[in-house]
Amino acid sequence: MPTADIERFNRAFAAASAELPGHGNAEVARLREAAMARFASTGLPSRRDEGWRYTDLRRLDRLDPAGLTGRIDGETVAALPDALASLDAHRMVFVDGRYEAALSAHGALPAGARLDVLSAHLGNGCEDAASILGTGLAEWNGAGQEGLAALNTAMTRDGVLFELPAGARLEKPVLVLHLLTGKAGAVHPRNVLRIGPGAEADVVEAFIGLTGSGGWSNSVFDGAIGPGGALRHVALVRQGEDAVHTGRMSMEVERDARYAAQVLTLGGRVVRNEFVVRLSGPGAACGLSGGALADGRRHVDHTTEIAHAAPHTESEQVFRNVADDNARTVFQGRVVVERDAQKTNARQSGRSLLLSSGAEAQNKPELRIFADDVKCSHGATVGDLDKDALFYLRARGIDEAEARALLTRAFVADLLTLLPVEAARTAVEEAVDGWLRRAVDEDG
Amino acid sequence: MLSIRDLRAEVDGKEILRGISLDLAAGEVHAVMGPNGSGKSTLSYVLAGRDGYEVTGGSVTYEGRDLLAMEVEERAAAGIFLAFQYPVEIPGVSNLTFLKTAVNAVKKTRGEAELDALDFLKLARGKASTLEMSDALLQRAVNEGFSGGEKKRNEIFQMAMLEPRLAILDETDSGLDIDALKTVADGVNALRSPDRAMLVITHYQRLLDYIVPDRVHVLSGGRIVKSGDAGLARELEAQGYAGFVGEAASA
Repeated sequence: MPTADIERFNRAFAAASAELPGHGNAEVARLREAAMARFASTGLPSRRDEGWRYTDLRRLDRLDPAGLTGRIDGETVAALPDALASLDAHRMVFVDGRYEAALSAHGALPAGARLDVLSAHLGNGCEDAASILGTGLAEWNGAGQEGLAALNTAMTRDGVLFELPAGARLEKPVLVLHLLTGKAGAVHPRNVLRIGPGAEADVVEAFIGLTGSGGWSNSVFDGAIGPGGALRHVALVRQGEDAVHTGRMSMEVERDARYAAQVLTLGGRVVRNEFVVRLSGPGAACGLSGGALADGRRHVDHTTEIAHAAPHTESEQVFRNVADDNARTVFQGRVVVERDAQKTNARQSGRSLLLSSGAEAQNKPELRIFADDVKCSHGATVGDLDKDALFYLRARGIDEAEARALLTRAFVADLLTLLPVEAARTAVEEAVDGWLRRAVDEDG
Repeated sequence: MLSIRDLRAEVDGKEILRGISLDLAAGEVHAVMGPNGSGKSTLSYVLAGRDGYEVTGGSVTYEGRDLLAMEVEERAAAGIFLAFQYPVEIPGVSNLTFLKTAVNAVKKTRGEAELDALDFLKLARGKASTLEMSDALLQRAVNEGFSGGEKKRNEIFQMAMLEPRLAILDETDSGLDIDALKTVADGVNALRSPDRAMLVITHYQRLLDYIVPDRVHVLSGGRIVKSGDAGLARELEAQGYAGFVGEAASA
């Protein structure tokens, strides 16, 4: 990345550092400066970097890296999808990166549990800054260092800190809603999770860009699940038409713990969602699924990296991407089986559907296996809608647009079956059906 | 109801239908019989409007309209139903969702009120039970993992739900054992009515023991080489197609 561009980010950091949360806390300031230095050493990822061959972030060259500022008003709330707004949840709402108490509904938690605003843990006298801004897994990348998570560490303003003590269970999901209202600038939301041994929780993250919003959202969702614990996680990304979204979800999964996560991307100009999961104890398991519904000139990239670092670990990945018009989708799934991770079982399925001749899809499964007693499989396909099925539906009186929508919905049906958080079903189905209706109407 | 005049059609540049003429009136059942490659399935696909079947000559008039100018779904809405020789499997779409969408799409085009979920379910269960189709079969993805007989019964079930004016049955008997054949034939016969016409396409005479046609046409080399009453089918069964094909050649 050209020096001038690094300077641009350095200046934005210098301008913001005096007022970023925790600016008076020497430890926080030190961590942020170190992170900024790591970012400066690599800059933004480019297509020359392994892992970024298919996704181009050059749109960010024209972006003001200063904080995104929009305005919160009645419209903001009205623009929330109904099923999300009415979801019975511990709700934490952030608008352009800042916490909005008026829109949030914290609710009562079990003893010892915490669902806090992250910035409250960065001020003077707070001692857990290092674990909040520490970047063990968040910046880890088998393909080499990259700067996005480091930039998040340096510039983050807020997010949630969610902690669940051993054996605790939440009745309702935690909903973390990041709304973008502004047209320019950047936000770096950061959510930190610590799920105790045997504890279980459902977390729904939603990144919603209001109509006409743009800018850049660069988020980190970083956590660990203690032995025997379980985290079920859904991330819904529906950014504005001109927005860039980069999100990294990193999770350490300890002995016999389970992480089930699904990401769905339905909006945003350029979107890259990354999962980085480390199965660090025997019996740890993760199931990742994801879908991109992309139209117009959108570019959506879902990239995963799962490290099997202990024996008897299991992973399953199911990704379904749909590209219409001139959209482009990418799925890159990497599984690394370390030398000691015998008896590992890893499955991966990536399928892409092209709805128009101008659409493109890339599927890149990758297995790196250093153990000898493992079961790993992957399957990848790219195709069009089945012409015989289309004719069959039309021969029963269903018009072409509706037949295409029905078959497209069937293509992503696997994802709805795998949805980890049942409470989010209505919201997810509403979002998927809304996208299909819009895509069909535009074509029709 | 249906008038086919000198219909010619080709697939991949090869002429398959070489001038077919046929008239079918409301209330009638006609059988089209012929050996493999005679153009039977091509005729059914041309009438249903499948891509890749290019009409190169002739005309098809259906209830006074130019059928060949209509889109596939328009033909269905206008009351044409093709029971497929090879019903298509559609993973991820349940049989009921599919059928409800189809029934309501057709009703909408005809300007009729759409059925709500409850009325639809009642209607579907009633029709399914006469075809010995279980609830489980209705809930499953369209034709996915269905046996040959289940697929064919599903076709007739769809026909019963959509209540077409003109039903084209494309080798509905193929792959059926005698019990399944009787069930399917009973389903078809139950739909015979004075204002409905049927075109039964088959290779074998067997089906016509159960669905007795008013007229039988023998198709060979893309032409109708002989037409007659139900007796023609039995004659054909006794003599085999060879005699008729020869007759056509010398004619």
